[in-house]
Amino acid sequence: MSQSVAPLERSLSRVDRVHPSARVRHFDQLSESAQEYVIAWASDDAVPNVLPEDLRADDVVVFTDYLHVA
Amino acid sequence: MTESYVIIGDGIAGSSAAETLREEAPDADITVITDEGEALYNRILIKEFAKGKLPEAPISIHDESWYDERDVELRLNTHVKNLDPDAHTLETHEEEVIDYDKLLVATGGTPTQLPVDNSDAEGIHHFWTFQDARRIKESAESGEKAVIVGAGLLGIDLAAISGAQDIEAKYLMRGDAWWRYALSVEGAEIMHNAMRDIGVEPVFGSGVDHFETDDDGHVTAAVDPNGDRFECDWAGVAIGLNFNTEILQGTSVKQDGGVVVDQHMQSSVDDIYAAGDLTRFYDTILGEYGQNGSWGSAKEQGTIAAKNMVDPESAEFRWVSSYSITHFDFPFLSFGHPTIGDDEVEKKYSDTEYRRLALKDGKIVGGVLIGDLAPQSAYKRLMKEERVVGDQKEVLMQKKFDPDDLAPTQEQ
Ligand SMILES: Cc1cc2nc3c(=O)[nH]c(=O)nc-3n(C[C@H](O)[C@H](O)[C@H](O)COP(=O)(O)OP(=O)(O)OC[C@H]3O[C@@H](n4cnc5c(N)ncnc54)[C@H](O)[C@@H]3O)c2cc1C
Repeated sequence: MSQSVAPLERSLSRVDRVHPSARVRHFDQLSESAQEYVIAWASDDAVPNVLPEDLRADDVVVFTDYLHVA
Repeated sequence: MTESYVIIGDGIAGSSAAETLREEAPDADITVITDEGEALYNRILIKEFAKGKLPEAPISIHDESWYDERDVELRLNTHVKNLDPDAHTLETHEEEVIDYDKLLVATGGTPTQLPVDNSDAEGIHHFWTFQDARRIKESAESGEKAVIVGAGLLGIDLAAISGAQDIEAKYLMRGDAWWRYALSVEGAEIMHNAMRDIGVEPVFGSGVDHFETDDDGHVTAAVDPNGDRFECDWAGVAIGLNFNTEILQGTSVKQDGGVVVDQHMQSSVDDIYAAGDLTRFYDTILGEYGQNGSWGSAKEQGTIAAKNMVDPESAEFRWVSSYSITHFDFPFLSFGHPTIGDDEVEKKYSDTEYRRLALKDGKIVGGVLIGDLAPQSAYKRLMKEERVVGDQKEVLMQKKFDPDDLAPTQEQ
């Protein structure tokens, strides 16, 4: 399986700049589980300690901020 | 004999169909034709590029090698101008005739122009392609004042671009609220305040009567039906889409404000399928025909169409779409069909938190969430299950909504 374990508080972080080689997706392009993950993270709720399958390290998610996946 | 599949349009619907076709039919001939000069890119993210926040590179999704690796023939800069369903052929702008066994029409739409004087002046932008985004960015980086027209989901993107580029913008709306068909004024006011916070002033009871231009034909102002004049260096217009269905004229492919397809994405003519924004599809959840313009829905329709092109009626489109706005400090999400229904329930929780559900025959058919998106999955599930919940509005509007708090469904 391609899931990776990520410590909760470090799994996503806000960034201002995006590297041109980053894989960037808008919130609407994520799976339902990845959307739930982002929503939970953004509202300081408990986040599962396994990343959803369609998120991988160094991805950037466009939500109310740009979120970098650790 | 090798089947030949032709897809017109390399947006997300056409491209996801190509991917699925290759998976389902390893030996088939697959051709994707697009009149754009670039392969599939991330249409949703071009607004972030126009804001000046995202570089160009991450917006591309497929480069040409993606097609090579899958043995898919990609024709860029090729406009399909005619279709002959009896002969199973289509004709390109260069008069090349291409045969197909099965055809997917995934041609999306083109933004509607305002039917007013000077609506095609220099500096008046519509917003659909990456090229549009490049031009908007250029105007936004060099101008100081803008006018935005179109009180819907694309208009607000133009407003957000203005805000991000420090443009002083007037957002002209005909009614008394942004997206008034999906939100009450109370809910819309949250969005109006967010616009004001980024320097975009909503102007209600307005619109455009005509544009004024300078001697070079460049827009200088919008004049609304009240005679009020709004100076601008550029204008952004997003009042709707005209579906790209010219090629279907003269064929018997049924259209009704969109290409009519069943839940298998099959049109009324054998061997012609359609997917994406331009469809009017049979929505198995609503039990009636519906329309939707969103990335997720177009992608899923492309996948479903491809499966059925290979194995007819093997897959059904059953989908609750959603579309979010992420420009402000709080998120906004609409799902399903928030503008229809025979009943509704709404609640405002705070200055940045609001919910509205549209109901039909007691079932959720769509909704809008502002601020807290946590309940979206539960609402979507109830919609997909077609559960009758209209008599439990208070539970539905609980701040921490838990579907387990709903009374069990009565057997009919
Ligand atoms: C600025 C913007 C922001 C958006 N934001 C969001 C969002 O946040 N969330 C969301 O879910 N959705 C969003 N959308 C909507 C989403 O992008 C569309 O619903 C989706 O891209 C539609 O895909 P499609 O494949 O049906 O059509 P399209 O992407 O329009 O693709 C159709 C393709 O067919 C080509 N074509 C047309 N006619 C011909 C012809 N005769 N011959 C050859 N080629 C032809 C066109 O040039 C085009 O490349 C946004 C759209 C825009 C423009």
